[in-house]
Amino acid sequence: MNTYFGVLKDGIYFNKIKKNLTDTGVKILNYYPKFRIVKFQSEKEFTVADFDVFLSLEQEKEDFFAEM
Amino acid sequence: MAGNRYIVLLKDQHKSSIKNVEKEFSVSVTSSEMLSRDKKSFNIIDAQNAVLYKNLGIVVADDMDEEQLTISVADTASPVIYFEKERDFFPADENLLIQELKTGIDQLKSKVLELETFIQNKPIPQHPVVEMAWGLKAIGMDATRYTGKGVDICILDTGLDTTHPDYSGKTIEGKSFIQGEDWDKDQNGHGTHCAGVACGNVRNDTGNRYGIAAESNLKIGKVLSDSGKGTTSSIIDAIDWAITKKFRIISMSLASPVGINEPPSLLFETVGKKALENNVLIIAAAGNDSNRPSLPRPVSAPANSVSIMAVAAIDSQMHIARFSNAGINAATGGNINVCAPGVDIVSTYPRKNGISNEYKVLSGTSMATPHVAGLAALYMEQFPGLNAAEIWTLLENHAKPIENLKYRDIGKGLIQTIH
Repeated sequence: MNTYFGVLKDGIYFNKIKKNLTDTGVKILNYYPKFRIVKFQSEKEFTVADFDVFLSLEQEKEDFFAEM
Repeated sequence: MAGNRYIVLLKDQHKSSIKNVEKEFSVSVTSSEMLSRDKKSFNIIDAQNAVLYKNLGIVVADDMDEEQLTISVADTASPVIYFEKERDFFPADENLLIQELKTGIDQLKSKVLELETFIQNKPIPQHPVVEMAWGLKAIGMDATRYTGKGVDICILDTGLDTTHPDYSGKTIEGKSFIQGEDWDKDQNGHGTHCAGVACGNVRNDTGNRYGIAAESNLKIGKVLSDSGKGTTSSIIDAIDWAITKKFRIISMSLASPVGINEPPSLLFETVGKKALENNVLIIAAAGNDSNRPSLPRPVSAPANSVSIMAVAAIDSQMHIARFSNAGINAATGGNINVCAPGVDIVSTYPRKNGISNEYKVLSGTSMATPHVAGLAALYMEQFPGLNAAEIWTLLENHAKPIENLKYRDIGKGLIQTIH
């Protein structure tokens, strides 16, 4: 399972695209209204080109380390 | 000119009158008609030689016998009817300048007196009564009276050992973003160390000072597991929480390596920008992937986002730390903003495995980052009207460049207190 973070484009509202996103088979995990970022999960591999609502799409990283 | 020069007015210019003048004053008179480009009056006039200005009817000579001149004027038989000493004339504005200078000197005298009185009566300076860590001295902590009082600093790290004596009695708020691990325990130790640098005070054994913003409000977000590892989710969730709580400063001593020419994450760029808009300053470690003197590695994520302040590390010899990353990906962002002490930094540490020492010396851009967070809290106390972006600018503008170190490695330089 892949976890993604999508930054919404200006003028795109989460409430209006939520259903469309779900219909594509992704599972929405969280929406951060302050940042206009959608966090979702899917079995599929996506790039930002697969969506016309996101400015950027990044996969969850698990390699943040304490820097000492 | 030897001494005084005299202007002597004659009643006529007859040959006999000129001879009288020559005889009375023992001078040889040259007519102005004899003057030329090669024979100028100022080359002729002295105590023995005078010049007669034919058009004016005056004789000019140096060091004339003033007593004899007075007698001659009184004597109607003498051709001399008036004399005076040559005067110096200045344009009106030069006179004004002289007057202003005189006034300025008076004012200066008054200021010197005021300064002298101040120096004689000034109170004893508040020299620190405790020794302090080298990193604190390097950023000018011995010259500030600010303590970050009332400013909320949020440390996103491995948690905090709240049983540590230096945190007992303090009201500390926190939240864990790591499943199954509590924010108020720190099996790793890294978070407790970073929190101490930013918000600690003095050691409970030696009394030496190791922390910067001793009166700030410490907030803890556990975003790194006990093994020191974290995810995008834990960090984004914690930043969202901190902004909601209106904490003023977020300190992140964590990093994810990036490649050469890899652009910064738009995700973190968005988060950093929104944080600044919400009056929250995010400060992050530049990363420790370098092995100098080899070409350093680029600034890691999330510090490589332009809306997040990137911190490099230096040692006590004012050298860049061997491990400290640099602004290699400058074309896509990812510059170093400032540097701070990050080698051999002492701070609080959890008591583990029966080891009773409550302090430990660590190195890393992780240790440099809370120096900046702590100082930002001091600035916020000192300049309560400034917003997060303005505090960022102030941190950069008051940082000092270090001789022989590059902008690529230390950005605007070593952060400094303002006093």
